[in-house]
Amino acid sequence: MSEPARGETALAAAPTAERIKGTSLWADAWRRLKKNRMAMAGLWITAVMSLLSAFAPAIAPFDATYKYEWLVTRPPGFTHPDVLVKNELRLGHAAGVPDSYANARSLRFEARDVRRTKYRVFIEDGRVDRILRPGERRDALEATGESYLAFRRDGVLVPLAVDSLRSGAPAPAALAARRVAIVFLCTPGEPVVIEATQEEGRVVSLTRNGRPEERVEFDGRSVRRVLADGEEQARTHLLGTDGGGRDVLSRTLYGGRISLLVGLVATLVSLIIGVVYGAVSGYFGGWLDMALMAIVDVLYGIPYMFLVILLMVTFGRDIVVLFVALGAVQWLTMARIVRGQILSLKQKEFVEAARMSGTGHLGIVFGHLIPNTLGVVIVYTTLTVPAVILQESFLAFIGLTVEYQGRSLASWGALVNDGVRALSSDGGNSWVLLVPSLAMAVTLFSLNFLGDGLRDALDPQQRGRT
Amino acid sequence: MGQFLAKRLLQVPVVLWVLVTISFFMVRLAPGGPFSGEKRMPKEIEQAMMAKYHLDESLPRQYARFLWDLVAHGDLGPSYKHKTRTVNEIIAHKLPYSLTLGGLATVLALWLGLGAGIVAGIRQNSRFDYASMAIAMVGLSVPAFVVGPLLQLAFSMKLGWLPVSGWDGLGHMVLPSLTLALPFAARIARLTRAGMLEVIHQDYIRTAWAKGLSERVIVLRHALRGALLPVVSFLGPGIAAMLTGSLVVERIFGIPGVGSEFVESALNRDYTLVMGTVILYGVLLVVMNLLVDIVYGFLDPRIRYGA
Amino acid sequence: MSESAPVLQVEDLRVHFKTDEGKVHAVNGVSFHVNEGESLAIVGESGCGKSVTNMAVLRLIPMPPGEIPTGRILYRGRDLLNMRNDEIRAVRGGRISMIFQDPMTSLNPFLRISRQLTESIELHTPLRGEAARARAIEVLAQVGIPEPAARIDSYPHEFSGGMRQRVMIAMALSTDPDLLIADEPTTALDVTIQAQILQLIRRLQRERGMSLVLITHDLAVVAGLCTRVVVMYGGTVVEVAPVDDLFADPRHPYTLALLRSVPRLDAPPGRALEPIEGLPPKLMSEPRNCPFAPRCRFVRDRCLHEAPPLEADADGRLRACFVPIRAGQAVDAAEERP
Repeated sequence: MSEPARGETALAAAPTAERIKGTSLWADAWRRLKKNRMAMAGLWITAVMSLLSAFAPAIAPFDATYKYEWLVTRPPGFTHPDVLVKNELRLGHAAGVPDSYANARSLRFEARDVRRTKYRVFIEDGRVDRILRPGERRDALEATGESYLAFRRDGVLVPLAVDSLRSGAPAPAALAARRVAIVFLCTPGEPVVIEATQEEGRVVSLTRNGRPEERVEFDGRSVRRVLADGEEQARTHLLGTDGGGRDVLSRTLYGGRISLLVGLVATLVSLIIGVVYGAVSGYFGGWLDMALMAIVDVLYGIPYMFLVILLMVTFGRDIVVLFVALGAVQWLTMARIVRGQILSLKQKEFVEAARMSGTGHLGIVFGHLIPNTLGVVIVYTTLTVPAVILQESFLAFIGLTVEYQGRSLASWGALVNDGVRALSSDGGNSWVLLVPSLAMAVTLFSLNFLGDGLRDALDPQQRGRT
Repeated sequence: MGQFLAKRLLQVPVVLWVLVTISFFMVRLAPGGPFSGEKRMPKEIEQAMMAKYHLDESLPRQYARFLWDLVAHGDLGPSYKHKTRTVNEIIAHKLPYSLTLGGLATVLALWLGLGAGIVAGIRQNSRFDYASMAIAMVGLSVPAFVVGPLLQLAFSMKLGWLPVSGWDGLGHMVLPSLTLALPFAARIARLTRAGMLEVIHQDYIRTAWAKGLSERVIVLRHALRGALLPVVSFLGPGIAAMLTGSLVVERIFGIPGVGSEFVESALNRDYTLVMGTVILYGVLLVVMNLLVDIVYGFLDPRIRYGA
Repeated sequence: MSESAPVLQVEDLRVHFKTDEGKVHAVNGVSFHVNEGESLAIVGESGCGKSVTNMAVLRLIPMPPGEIPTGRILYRGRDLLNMRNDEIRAVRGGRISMIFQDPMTSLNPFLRISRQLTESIELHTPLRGEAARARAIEVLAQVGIPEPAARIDSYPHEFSGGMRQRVMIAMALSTDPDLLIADEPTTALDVTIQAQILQLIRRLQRERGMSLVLITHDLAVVAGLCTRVVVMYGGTVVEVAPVDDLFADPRHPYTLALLRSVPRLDAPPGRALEPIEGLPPKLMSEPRNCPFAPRCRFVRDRCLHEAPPLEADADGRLRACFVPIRAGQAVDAAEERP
């Protein structure tokens, strides 16, 4: 070309001249994604939730299945001495107390039994009509100085003024709307102090109120304080306990494992079926494509969740059945999307080049075509995971919880179901519902935002389509 | 259009046949008979029961009998658990509740979804856009069985404005239809907004502006149709999702519809009733998809005239 | 040149767009006018701001992201930029009509042609109902649609590209506008169809005595159709001249380069085409130099620090360049870079 060379100054000085940057599709997509604040938040939250769930056994403060039977439905932040439901100390044996005490030299349990007497209070027109102790009728309760009165509401004992119940007197406001109320007169027993010393994991000395004993058993509920090597031992349920006395935070962490696992594996199943089916259909085209797509059309007309329910009812609720069932529901859309992509991709020159260089059909489909559909596949996968999690939770909600080797697995859906069932009329135990619901909603929210953002980043033409 | 519709119509019996066949064999191949869950039953009685329901015949015969009864008489057979009633009777009794709930929810979802979606699309990046899309995301991410109880808690228990559950008059219908409609409305809103955004950047909308038309006319006459096409395509699978959702919603609000009956019968292994319900939902879905196709063709002349 | 007041006068128009990468200065102080009955061409590469300028005339720039920080656009003395919404709507499609580049996408695929034509007619003329329809059929006949009465109820997809562009022209002319802005009306069409459409536009413009602004990147189109040419580059006007003068004696280096980059029948045989090296500017900042300087073979130091104003030469021709050019050479040829 005879065009005279331009001086460097001209280019350098021209503020409008722009260097052309070569950026790969992926780098470009990542740059676009990073600009989308909601998608990035979604990405981080998804990552955090996944890590929390994956490492649930290490993170969870409590055993998710252990029931502190006397600590049911305690609010978030509730603290209690660290003991088991049934504790046993026996000379020469390992202590039957929480594992965390295994290395303590001295142990001191301060307990106080409570004797409860159950009364039935009949209320008419807001006044106490009569009070029945099983078998006999009374007009008032026999209370001693240290007694206190409580009634059971939503599995929790709520205190009442001791002298508030008397025949003919107005009923306490908390009971006024009822016709019959069960109240407990709780009379604290004598304080008990159990002390033990351990060596090499065995109990070597044991006293009860100062007297040596061979063996002491005590109820977790009676324990007021625990000292291990002189230090008070207490545990906190950060997010409270549920109606079974299980730690809500731990259950939610473990529940996330199940939900995310189901979401991931079922999505993977659908991914494999969908991508292969769609790729084969799109690549070979012709009558095969027509036949395969006709099948997809027909299957689209089937109300799938009903079949999944039927499948789980008839073939059991094993997690493997669920993976297959949910995966089988989801692959149709993936197959259509991949087919569409392959149809346009196979016209491109690089496919022709691969064919001429002797690559076989399989090589072209798996080596050249499918890798090029990756963007769309990733986007759709990200959006499928939350959909599957939602479907599993539906199943759990209607009572079809997944099982593994006969054990029921409490996914988020199952936890939410528990929370809904336990929800009291005044919402006083709402954390049992809200904690797993929020965990699930936040995760689904993040995954959906991430999927949206990925679509905008990877597939700008599709921008904004759902 | 005629050809397109004919193809769709041909698909209907195929879809239904596949559905009936899959569910029939799934039920019959399941381990354990329909009566195995019940208290020990004397052998003779069990045999008599098996004979009564033709369960002693070979599988192909049973299948043929079931198909024949279904096609020739529309008969879904007797219920195994409600011994005195047929599946047809039970469904006929329960269906009106579900249809009312589903219909109300559809209307509500369309109204909320289209309204929010159109405005959000026209006023992209406005506060309304952000707010409505955030709410839509919540609608997509929070399952109905969380929304339902929370609505009950707020409006029935705390405020006392609406009844908690049951199905007796308009007041009872508000919360269930809202719960059922919400995720559906969220999807419609997102689709409508996306459709609107895509359409208003089309050349023909620029042409409409250049003609001097007002924004109202441009939106209603020129943009809306194109924007609604993805929404219409969604309605078929959307209605399917809504039917699934109704299983849960009917359960939460204690509505004696087909959904709760389905769950009940599935858990009770009342197989004929389960199959009847599945087939019913299949028919509903197929009819809806067909309607959607017709509406689609009606909206888009390129399809109507086979272009 | 007509001495009557111009139909359209654009003064110091600037249009910016806010994008993720920053503010794009798409149009930077453009001024030109269109005389009564005149056909004016606006020529330039894609991205030079010619379409944006004309979209701004009808206030069709979406705002945001667009903004018009300065400028006046006078239509018969009234500033379109200050008009109320209902006033500008009466001008759009009524007094000033536009035809767009791609007839395949510029017609609404969901509406019958009849609807799309009559809605314009009913909006801008007193004709209603059957009368509007009759008018629509009449203009369809004028633009050469065969059997217009039968075809008026068709949908756009039932027409070919050329026919659709005829429909677009019919739509634009159905309201008897004073000014027609045709934005690359033939770019998307086959070559044979292009000629027909250009013929049609020329005929209709002459018959109706309407003013025409033809936006194009194709100099061949300009020669047969227009009387005066505005050459744009990098969001500015670089040269304005009567069409014959421009071809015979281009006075801006960009015009010169443009003419040398297209084949001409009157060129001596064997003469090579000369592509314009480099890329058009991205306009990411307010230009403080001549926008063409990085690609200009006559570039001087001054061009890199100062933007040349659009000024009249001694004979009245307007150009924006510091270097005097005659017959394809800088007059002080020594200045040309080796």
